[in-house]
Amino acid sequence: MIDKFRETFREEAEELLSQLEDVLLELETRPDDVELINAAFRAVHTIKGSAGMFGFEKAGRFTHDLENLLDACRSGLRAVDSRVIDLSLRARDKIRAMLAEADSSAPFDEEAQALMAEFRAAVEDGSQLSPPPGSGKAGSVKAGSVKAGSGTVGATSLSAGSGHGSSGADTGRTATMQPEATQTGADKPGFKAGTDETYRIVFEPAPEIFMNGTKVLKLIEELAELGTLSVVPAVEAIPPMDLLDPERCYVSWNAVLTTSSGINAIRDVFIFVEGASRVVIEHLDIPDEDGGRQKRVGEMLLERGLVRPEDLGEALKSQKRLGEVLLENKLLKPSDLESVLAEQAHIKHAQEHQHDTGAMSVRVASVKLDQLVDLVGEMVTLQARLTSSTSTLGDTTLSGIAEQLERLVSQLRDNAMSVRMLPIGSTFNKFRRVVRDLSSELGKDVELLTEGAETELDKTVIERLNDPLVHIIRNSLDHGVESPDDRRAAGKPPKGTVCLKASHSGAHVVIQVSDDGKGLDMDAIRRKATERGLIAPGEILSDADAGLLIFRAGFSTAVSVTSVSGRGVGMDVVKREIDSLGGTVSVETSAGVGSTISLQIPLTLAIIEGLLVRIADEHFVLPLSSVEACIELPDDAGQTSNGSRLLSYRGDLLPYVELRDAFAIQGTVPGFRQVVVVNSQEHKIGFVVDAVIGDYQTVIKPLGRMFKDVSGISGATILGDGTVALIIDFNRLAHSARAAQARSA
Amino acid sequence: MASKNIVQRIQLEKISGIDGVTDLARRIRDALANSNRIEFDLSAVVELELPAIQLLYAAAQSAVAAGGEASFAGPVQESVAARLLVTGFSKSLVRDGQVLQSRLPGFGAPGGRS
Amino acid sequence: MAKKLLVIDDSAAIRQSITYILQQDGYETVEAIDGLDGLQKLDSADRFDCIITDVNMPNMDGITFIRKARENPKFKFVPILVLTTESQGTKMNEGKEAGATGWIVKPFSADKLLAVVKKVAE
Repeated sequence: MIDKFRETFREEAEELLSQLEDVLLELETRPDDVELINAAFRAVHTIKGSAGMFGFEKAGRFTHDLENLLDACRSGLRAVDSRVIDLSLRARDKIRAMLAEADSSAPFDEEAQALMAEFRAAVEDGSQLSPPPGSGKAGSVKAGSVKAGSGTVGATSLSAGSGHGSSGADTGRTATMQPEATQTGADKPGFKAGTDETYRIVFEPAPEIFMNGTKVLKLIEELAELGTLSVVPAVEAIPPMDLLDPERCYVSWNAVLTTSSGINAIRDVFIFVEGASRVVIEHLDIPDEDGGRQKRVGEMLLERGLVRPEDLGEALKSQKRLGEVLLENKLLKPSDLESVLAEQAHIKHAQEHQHDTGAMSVRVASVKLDQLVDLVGEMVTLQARLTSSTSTLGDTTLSGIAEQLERLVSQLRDNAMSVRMLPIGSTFNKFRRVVRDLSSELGKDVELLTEGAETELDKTVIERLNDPLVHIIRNSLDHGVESPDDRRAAGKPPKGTVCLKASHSGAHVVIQVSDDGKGLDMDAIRRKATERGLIAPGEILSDADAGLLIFRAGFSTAVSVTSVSGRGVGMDVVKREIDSLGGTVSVETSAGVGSTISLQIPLTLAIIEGLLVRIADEHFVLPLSSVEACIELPDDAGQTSNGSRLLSYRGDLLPYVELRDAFAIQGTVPGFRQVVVVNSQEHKIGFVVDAVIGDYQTVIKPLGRMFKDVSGISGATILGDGTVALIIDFNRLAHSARAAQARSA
Repeated sequence: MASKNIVQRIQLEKISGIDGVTDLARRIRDALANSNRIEFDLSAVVELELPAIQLLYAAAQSAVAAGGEASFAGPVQESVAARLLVTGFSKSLVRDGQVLQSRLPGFGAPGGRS
Repeated sequence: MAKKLLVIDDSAAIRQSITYILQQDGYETVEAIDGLDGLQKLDSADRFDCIITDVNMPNMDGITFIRKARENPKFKFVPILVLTTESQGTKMNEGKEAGATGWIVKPFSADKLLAVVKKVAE
């Protein structure tokens, strides 16, 4: 690309070289003229700097040593004498010849090599022996030795150049080559490139960093582009308005970055600010998941010198969480705690993913995986029976073996589950087609952006997410993104975007579909909901609640029914499907800017954290994530006149369901019973049970076809003693309870 | 002088960088002189730079110290929401100004320790 | 809106190749042949998103140019990149002290130039 300026450069260099000749000749008569020396240096410097860019690398390298010599003269380290001028003139002719050569890659000829050695020798003899012109600082002894030895030393120097020539030239070359070596090092990622490494980065910008036009946030964004970044800004140093100098920087950052680009890529980000600003980059060792242990918060705080050991010891005595205690007593800055927590989470994540890259993979039929998970499930069950049997037998040898087996089985279970995890990206690709086809059908121009395609979810969950996501994306295209004309009128680019994003959040995956369309028309939604009787006239709903109305059955605000979004079926299906996955839906919207629908989905369906409860001799499991509290059934709770069951809970009336009745369980009702309060679709509801047994991690077994239509049960699990416990579909139960209540009201 | 309880709304420029920061600081100081309740409107902002963000935090501190608060109104553009998230100021992508205040850890908390 | 850059270098070959590379990438460019010319270009423009300047130039060198540019309130905070060769560690520091944002080391490739411009100007 730059080649087209090769001729321009050659002409320019030609001109510079003829100027150089004039200047050198004049210098001969006025060797102390600083302006002339500067002019000579400038000409050589320009040629040297540009030659390499236009395909004259050889001339560039050759000129490098001449430039050093002239620089020494310019800065007063060496006198301009006839040797300098003679060398420079010869060099000038040589450069000219080199620029005329077609091939820049040929090795230096003998003449060029000899000249280069002489440049270096001339710098050395000057710097050792010649006092800076016009500077009287050189001591008398030195001045004496100059006079005495100038001729001979020049000769030794030359003979050194030819005799130990190689050593002298080599040192010279290494010295000059070094910056180039680092330069290429910075261009290419470090030698560790390719594998993921994790670094801790501290960035404390100089207070006056804004003054030279540096955009600080840009640097953090560049870091983020290198890989996975967890970053916490320390905002505590920002003073109140009356003390603030708006042109001063007060914020600093603590970051943890996992990248395959190598440490040089990180250094490159800060290359212009290092020095004035404090930049510390440390490599972090990520311990193996099974080998190493996660560092505790206290340990990390100590390591970083953020708390004093005695304060930490004191704080650890408290019952409360360490971080809270330290913050309360002002022994720690909030952002420091946050950054330690972020680092901990980051390392945990990196640990889980460190074997991802570069490993070999094997294709396995998914049926086989399902079987494996099934078998592991059986094994977990059997193992629990073994444990309980050995404890009754009281044989220590046997219980030792059982304990070891328990550990192995739980590892096996986690492993088997992880095998079924798939990156969600595989489904993302399908949606590209949906968006493409649909936008042409609707006459809209819409681009689909995806993010977090590597986020993993259980295969069965991914399959069940497909339909809901299609509905949401269709809805965004149909009702969200405007036509190109409308968008132009609203001052937006004619091309709309729909962004599909997945990310981990604890035991959940969050999937967001956002568009940059017109947003939900909240007034229209409220109006329509009132018309359809979904809300009472005059009922006040927050925007978030109103947004959720679009997921109610029979809801559609589009003026005309389009072929795409259909007749208001669709979004209610989404809500139902996500509920059945044990997930939640939320909507964020902003008029004119767009809306975002977020789905929070549990990582896996196969294993749930459950709460085990008992009614008579039957066991049931409720998903723990939805349980809010367990309370005693008050004596005064009972049926009201209209048949609905309510009890008072935290000052409110809480509807409740008698599971004994719901599942028609016989037997005597104990005097003392408990109520499990769960959150079901933004409502609370209580389930009355005989006893709450406790936490229970369990493998879900699907029910056979015969039980497909049994309402209120979503699956089964086998307990340690071999009996079956049913998993309660509490959403369904809550729904029918509410329906019954509505009928009787 | 206006009542201390009247919310002073401050609209930020499309490009809120270092260049306009002295002017923005002056506007915030004027507003704080009249009220302890400030509302920032970020809806026009496409580029939000650190100097402006610092001012928002400083203003929030001063407002809280005077018994009021600083909050946000109106939508937040994608580029601004994304930048706040990537650089660690917010913990999620916030497009709605009304919730932004609650998603910025340390916003309104006393600081200025050196 | 396209980003607008001022390119100052006494070497036409360098100046033209830089502007060529930048224009190919959608930037708008203005050329100046030395520091003095650069200051005049600043006076007659309402904005620049970035300035690239050589150091060694006749009439007014790059360091003096940066100092003077920073005195102009319009360009007090504009990103300024200095064109330098790796042998000039001291010049690099001088440039920073005068208020440059960063530097571009000669010789550079089109990719390298664009990467550095993107780094400071966007």
